Amino acid sequence: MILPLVAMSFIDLFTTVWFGVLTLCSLFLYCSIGSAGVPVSVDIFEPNTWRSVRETMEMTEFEWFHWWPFKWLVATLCLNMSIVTIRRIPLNILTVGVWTIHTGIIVMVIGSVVYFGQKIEGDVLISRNRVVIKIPGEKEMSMVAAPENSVSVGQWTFTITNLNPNWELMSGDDVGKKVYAVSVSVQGPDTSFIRQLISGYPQYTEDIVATDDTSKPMARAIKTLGRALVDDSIVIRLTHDVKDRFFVTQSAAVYMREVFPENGGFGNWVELPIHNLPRFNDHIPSGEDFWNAGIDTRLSPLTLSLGTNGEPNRLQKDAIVTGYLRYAFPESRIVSGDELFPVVWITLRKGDESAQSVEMFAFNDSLNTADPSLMAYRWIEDDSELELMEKSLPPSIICTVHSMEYALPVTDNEEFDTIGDTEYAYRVLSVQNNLRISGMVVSLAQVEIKKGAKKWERWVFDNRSMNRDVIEGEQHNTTNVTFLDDAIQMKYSPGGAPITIVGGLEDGSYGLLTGLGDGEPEFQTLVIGQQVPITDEVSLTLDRAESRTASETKLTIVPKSQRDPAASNLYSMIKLVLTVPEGSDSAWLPYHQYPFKSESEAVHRFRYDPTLMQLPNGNTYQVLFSRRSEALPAPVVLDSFEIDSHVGGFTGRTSSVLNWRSLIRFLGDKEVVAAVSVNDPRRFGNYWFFQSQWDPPDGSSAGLNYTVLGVGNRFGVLQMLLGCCLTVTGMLWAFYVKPMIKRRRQQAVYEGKCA
Amino acid sequence: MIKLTTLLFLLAVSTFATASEPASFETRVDMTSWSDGVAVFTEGRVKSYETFARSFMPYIMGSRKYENQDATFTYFDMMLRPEKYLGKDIIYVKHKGLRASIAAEIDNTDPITGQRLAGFMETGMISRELLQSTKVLSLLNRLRRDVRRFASPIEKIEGSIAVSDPRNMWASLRIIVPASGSMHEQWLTLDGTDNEQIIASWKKLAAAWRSGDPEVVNTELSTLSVLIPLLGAGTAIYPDAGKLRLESLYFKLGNLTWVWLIYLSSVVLLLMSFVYRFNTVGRIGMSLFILALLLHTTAVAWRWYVSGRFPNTNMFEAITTASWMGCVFATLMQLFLRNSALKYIFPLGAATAAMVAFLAVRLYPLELNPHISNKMPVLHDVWLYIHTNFIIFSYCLIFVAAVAASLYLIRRCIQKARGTDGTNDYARAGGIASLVEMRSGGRSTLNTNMGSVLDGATMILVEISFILLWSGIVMGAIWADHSWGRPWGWDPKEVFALNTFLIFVVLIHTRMKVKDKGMWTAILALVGCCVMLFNWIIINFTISGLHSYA
Repeated sequence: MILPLVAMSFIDLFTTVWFGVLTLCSLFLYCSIGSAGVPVSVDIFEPNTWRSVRETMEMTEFEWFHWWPFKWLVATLCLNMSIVTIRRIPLNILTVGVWTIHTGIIVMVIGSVVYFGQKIEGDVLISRNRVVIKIPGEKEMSMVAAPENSVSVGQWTFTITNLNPNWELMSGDDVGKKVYAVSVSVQGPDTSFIRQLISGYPQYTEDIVATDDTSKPMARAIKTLGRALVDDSIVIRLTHDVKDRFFVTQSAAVYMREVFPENGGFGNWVELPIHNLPRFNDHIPSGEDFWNAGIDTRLSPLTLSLGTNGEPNRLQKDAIVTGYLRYAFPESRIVSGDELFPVVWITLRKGDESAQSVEMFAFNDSLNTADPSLMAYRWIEDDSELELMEKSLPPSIICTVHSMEYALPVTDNEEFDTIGDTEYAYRVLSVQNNLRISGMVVSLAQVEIKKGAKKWERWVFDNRSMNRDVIEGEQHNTTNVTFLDDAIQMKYSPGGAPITIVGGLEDGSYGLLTGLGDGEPEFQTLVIGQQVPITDEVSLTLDRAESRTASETKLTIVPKSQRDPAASNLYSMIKLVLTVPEGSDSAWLPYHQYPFKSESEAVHRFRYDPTLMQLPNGNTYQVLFSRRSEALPAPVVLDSFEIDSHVGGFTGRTSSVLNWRSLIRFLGDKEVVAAVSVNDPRRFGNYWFFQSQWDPPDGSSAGLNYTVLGVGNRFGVLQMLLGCCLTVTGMLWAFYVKPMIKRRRQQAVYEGKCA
Repeated sequence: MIKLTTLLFLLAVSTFATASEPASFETRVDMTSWSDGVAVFTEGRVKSYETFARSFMPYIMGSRKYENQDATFTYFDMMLRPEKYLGKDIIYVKHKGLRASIAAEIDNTDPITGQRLAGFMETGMISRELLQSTKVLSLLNRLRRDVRRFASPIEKIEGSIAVSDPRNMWASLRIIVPASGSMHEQWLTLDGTDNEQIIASWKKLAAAWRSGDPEVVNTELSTLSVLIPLLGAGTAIYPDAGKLRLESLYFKLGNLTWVWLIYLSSVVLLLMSFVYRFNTVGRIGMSLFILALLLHTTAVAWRWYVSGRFPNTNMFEAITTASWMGCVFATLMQLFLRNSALKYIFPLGAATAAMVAFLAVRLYPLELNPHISNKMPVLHDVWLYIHTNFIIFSYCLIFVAAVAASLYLIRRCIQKARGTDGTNDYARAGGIASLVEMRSGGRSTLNTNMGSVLDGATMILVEISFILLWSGIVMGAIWADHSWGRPWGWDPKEVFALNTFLIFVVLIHTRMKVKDKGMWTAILALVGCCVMLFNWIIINFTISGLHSYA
């Protein structure tokens, strides 16, 4: 008795239009909150005003709109529409519009359930080529054709030095055609050359070798050796980069492989998916791993075990994810340690304005944050070294005349100074320190020498072999150096940094040695925290000094206000703990967009930085945090990547691009060739492939070495489209046809009455 | 009201006024032949020098002008006489919070600096030298860490300083066609020509510019504007001289956005005629509306011709084209309903929409950038014209509906103040159905009073925009399906288009059930308009998504 009453009340409730309006309003609020968030201040034009409820609840847009409240709201609306339509709206010519609208919406919802219920979306990166190397007696090796990729085979090292996506063929049937060319530097035990490979034209493979001709240091082997290849037993060829899996959007997985230290080998990578990994909020198991724990964060450990893509395995059982960071990076800092590794922290100020702080290392100049030609930190064993340092601080020219050596000061005198009691005199025209010439860093003094009435200019380097006299009308030549007078020889000594901090003094204090003017170097004692003037404008403060230090690496969590929203999860990390009966090891793993199998599989712009984890039982693993993979319907390769451009051609900028086109081939039972471009996807099996990303040129690469294709299925789209069309038809009927029918009927009645 | 009208008048005429008398060289240099005759290649497009300079200078000065000089002159001047701009306030800082932070870092004890900083706070203009002082650089480095608020404005400042470098300006002035005449090769700077006449003429020009000799400058500009296009003679690569002139003129005339003033006049007159039934005033108002629409149509067609594509690919074009569509629709409605009580209401709403649209693009030239650039690759699709036009047309009609709804609500407020009940003032048959009644010669409820007329107009617009919006959303889904591989991705712009539609679904169903149909229709039409504007403004400029380019 009660049940039918409840049922009737329920049906009556669902028969009211107000209930439908309420459901629509709820849907509106739900959609608004999920999409824009909620404002926390009145300044609605300020991005920080909009707080994302969805992200606080660890949901992507897809998840928010598949959460049960949304499903319930849509189901309630459909039920309400169905009941109202059936009970309240009799089907006739006038109401057919409303019936069609409501039917259309329900059909569309059914289509959406089918679509979103089976939706898989991801992407696959396909390089244009792989370089395959075979040396007699060695296993065949290969690497992806990407800038600076390198692989070693036996005693040989093969490095990709150049990739040219627009190499123009100079001969043959296809002369003038632009093709993809790869240059591989081959370094052997006693020979080296560059092998040039052209994609699709193996017959044009040839070697480039070094020559003795300084005007043309590299030449084709065919010209110098009489044959195209230096060593034809070394076979290098280009093949396609075959991809058979794609990586799912918004997914997570750990990839692990065992390392065999005894032979340097590796096991196979195993993919272990992570389900329900947070994406937006930090989860920290403990504060000790961070430099800035407690800022913008709170302790909130995870305990997520890993899944498998197939059979359960040992690695999966041993691993657990205990932490997640949305935006963090490892940072090394100097802390107190046991070993002598002196470091000072100083601040340079100009007047009252704030200036820069620098960190300087006595034993490793390359770590200094100051310009090493201007500032240095030196550690002395005893105070006698200080005197030597003072002497060697100013720049000088060591001159040898008739076996006698003279130390000549570097001054800006315009007059010539006589060199000792010799017939020579000199003046310094200019000095240039730390010049980069042919990959070397050198220092140069341009000196004018005078002997009697004869004057000439000599370039004096800190490397004596580079010295030369400047003779009018002669080209500089590295092989045939001529001296107008070789009785006088010189070497330039650039001296020490004009601002040198000295540590290790016997009394434990620190000093500042400055040689900024023409006069003698000055020494001042430095007291921590005390400002010392260097020039009239600039002063220096020794903030902190440590002699026994160590470098420690921890994570720095980027505060939320400093995070780039466009970076998404590229800077995310997880903490993985591997446990065995003997103990455990843990590590924070940085996110990888693609889990490349090795360094030589990685491509430009994408990280490959696996973490080594050593377990107490002696096992060692390489682990990598990336995305879950799914099988493609067939292996796919990239035959070519093309760009259509606007007027002026392709300039490297996106603004000059009209379209990107990937010419791909599916290697299924039957090969299928397809061109995928923007707005023109291609279907293979149950998946659609669409143009997603490209490899733009930059300072280090000519680009166009790979393509990224979006991959996704799309079931239920036709149902959704049918529903939409029904809805539009219904609207047209209800708003335009129905009034006309009604009016005609009224008119007929009116005319009938009149008659 | 008088104050407001005066303010609006001043705003309108401000572009024609000259603030101060510039120095003689600046006024005596005539760039016209060069600006209209020489084409510049930039970012995959070839445009007239006039257009190029106008689109380049905002990277440095925003929408401001240096001492009221034309962008065409300032570009040359900064390139040839860079020393003149040392220490001058030429960099525009848009972010007001950032302006305050920068000003606080600069020592303003000197009264001149204090005055300059006050000007900086007001106009946003500051010198490169002040921006590059140690304290300011240190501040910017600190603020840059607050990525969401300051990273982009600071990047813009650095970009402005970089592009104001004369070497950069020289490198950007690509005016020499490639010798091959190929469409697929980049154009070159003057360094790339070996034409002795051009080189000699340029040298004379540069020397005369530096020495401040306007006669020689004008002569050489004229010579070069003949010689340089000749390099491209006989090839299809150099744009037609007539098209270059038209392009220059389009920008010289301020993209015809001053038409808002005519729309404003028509709004005032149409409102008077609608409220007080002044037929003569109404006819004058309609004449002004038609005049404005003709100019508006000219602006849209002109831009279409100059850009070589239908203007709907950026925010400037979307706003101006949407309002144009609304005005054409209103004109047609006025034509059909000229003898009914509904006359003038559609032109009134559309004129208001067009006026707001033109005012917005005039007041926010940086956000609603009028410059013509290439379409993104994803926009090269026929669905751009179908989906986008459906959506922007529906948005315009939603705005026009909100104008009618606002008038309805104002009327109800007045009625309430007078103690009159307006609950029954609504269109009995609805929107389109009321029109059907009228066209059939029957007695329409719309003739009874102004309330029902306003409600009827609101409903007509709501019903049309309802279908257009839904169809536009569906077409967007079809486009997204073959462009991004999925029809619906819950992108904020998609969600708020759906939200706008939901509000109108609520409106239609609420109207069926409530007693005070007119008032609830008006309120919900306004809410729908707010959601639509939220989608167009906040979602586009504050909450980013896949649709942020339009």
